[in-house]
Parts: sequence; structure tokens; C-alpha cells
Amino acid sequence: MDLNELIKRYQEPIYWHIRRLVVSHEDARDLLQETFIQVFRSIDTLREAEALRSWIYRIATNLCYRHLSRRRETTCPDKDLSEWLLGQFEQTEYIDYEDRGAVLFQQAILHLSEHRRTIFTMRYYDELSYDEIATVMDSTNGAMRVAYHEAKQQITEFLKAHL
Amino acid sequence: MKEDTLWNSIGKQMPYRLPEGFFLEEEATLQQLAAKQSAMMQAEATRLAEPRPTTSTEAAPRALKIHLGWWIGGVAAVVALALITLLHFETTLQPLQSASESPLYAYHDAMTSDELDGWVEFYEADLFLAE
Repeated sequence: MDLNELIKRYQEPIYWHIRRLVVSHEDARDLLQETFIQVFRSIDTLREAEALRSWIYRIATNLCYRHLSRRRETTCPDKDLSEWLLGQFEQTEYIDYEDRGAVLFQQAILHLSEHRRTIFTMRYYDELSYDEIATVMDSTNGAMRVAYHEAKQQITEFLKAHL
Repeated sequence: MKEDTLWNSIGKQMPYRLPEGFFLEEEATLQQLAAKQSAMMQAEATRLAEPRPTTSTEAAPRALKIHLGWWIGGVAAVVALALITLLHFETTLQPLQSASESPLYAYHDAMTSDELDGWVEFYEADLFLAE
């Protein structure tokens, strides 16, 4: 595949996937570039062209996890990751705090565990299939369905409690 | 509020915003990264395709291997020569070790005492003449 075509197709969805995981625009921008560098380096070794999307999501997700782990260790090692991200959400740039519904929804998502948050956002926003999500998360289709359902329940309870 | 209604009202909204023109700028940045990566891969492919010239650092270990080979060969040759020599001496020493079994001693054993005395006198005379 032509690399420019790859950029055009995946730049935006991957950016938003990363942004939903790391919250900060600057961090998302840096991680987007890192993701594509990894993709450019290894794309010739990809066995199945059909697996391209889940492969790129997997690279992006792993880079996000590594980034979040390092950030939390250096800034506040005693805090839970969700708690730390919620703190980031409240003070980072490029967030429209006027949109109360959207803010509450994102806060509900940020209360999820890292695992459930990743699965939920890939299914709900990016509409990846459960098989693709299972490839990204190195898990099974059934486990992804269960995790998504539980995440949706958790968000519903949060929203009902805060609306 | 019913769950379905709640989810329908939420939709896919997000409060996250971007600097204006971000994706256009970022696309250009990513294209530069792609071009750089392609150039690096091209250079690497060209380098691997060419026969490697022997550098001084590469020649040193190779020369060492050659010298080691000659040294081992030399030692092996010396050892072989020593063994051959040893075997040869073993075979040539045998007649001296068994000198008492030689034909001359057998002839002396067969001589009588008078004959032996006459032989010795003659031998001694020869000795004096030689001096």
C-alpha cells in the first residue's frame, strides 16, 4: 500500500483513538507520529493486508499504554490511572467544557479501567468488529463482547447518577 | 430515563477539540516521515545488495584466522615428523639391541678356546700395528 494513502486513510481515526485514551492533544499528536513511524518501518512484514486496520490500532494502543504508564509513574505514582486521567481531563487544553453532556460522557468513560475503556472506545466510536478488537487486545471475540457490555453498563450507571 | 433514550441522546459526542488546520499540517509531517523512512529503507537495500569491501577491521580477524590455520598445520606437521622419526629409530635400534644374536657372536660361540685365543692375539697385534 502507498504510504501517503495509508496516512490519508488512518490519520484521523488513529488520532482520535489515541486522544480518547490519553486525553491531552499534545501527547496524542506525538503518539500519532510514533505510531506511523512504527507502521512505516514494519509494514512490509505484515502478512495479511486485511489485518492492517487492527494492526495499526494495536501499535497505537500499545504506545498509549506505555506512555500512560510512564507519565503516571513520573508525575503521581500513588494514583490510580483513571484518577490521574480525570485530573488531566480537568486541566488540559483543547477541551470544550461548555458541552456538559459530552464532558460527563467522557468522564464516565475515563472512570472505566484501561482495558474496558480501550475496548469501549474502539467499538462505540470506531465501530471495529469484535474480531478486530480481539486482535488488537490479543483476546477473544467473546471476552470483548462481555467487556463492552460491562463497560456500557458502568457508563449508564455513572450517567444516571450524575444527570 | 430509559437506557436506550439515554444512549441515543449521547450519540458520539466528545468534548475534545483541535487547533485549526491540525490534520492538514500533521498529514504533511507524516508524509515527510514516510519519505524519510522510504529513503532509509532504500539505502539499506542498496547497501545489502552491494558486495562488502573488506575493511581493515574486518581483515584483522581474517588474517588472524589464516595465521592460526598455518600455525596449527605447522604443529601438526612437526608432531607427525617426530612420530615418524621415533618409529624409524625403533626399527633401526632393534639390530643393536639384539647384537648378541648377530651371526658374528654365533661364530665366536662356536669357536674353541684355543681358536679364540689365537684370534684375540692376532687382533691385539693389529691394534699395536695401528698405533
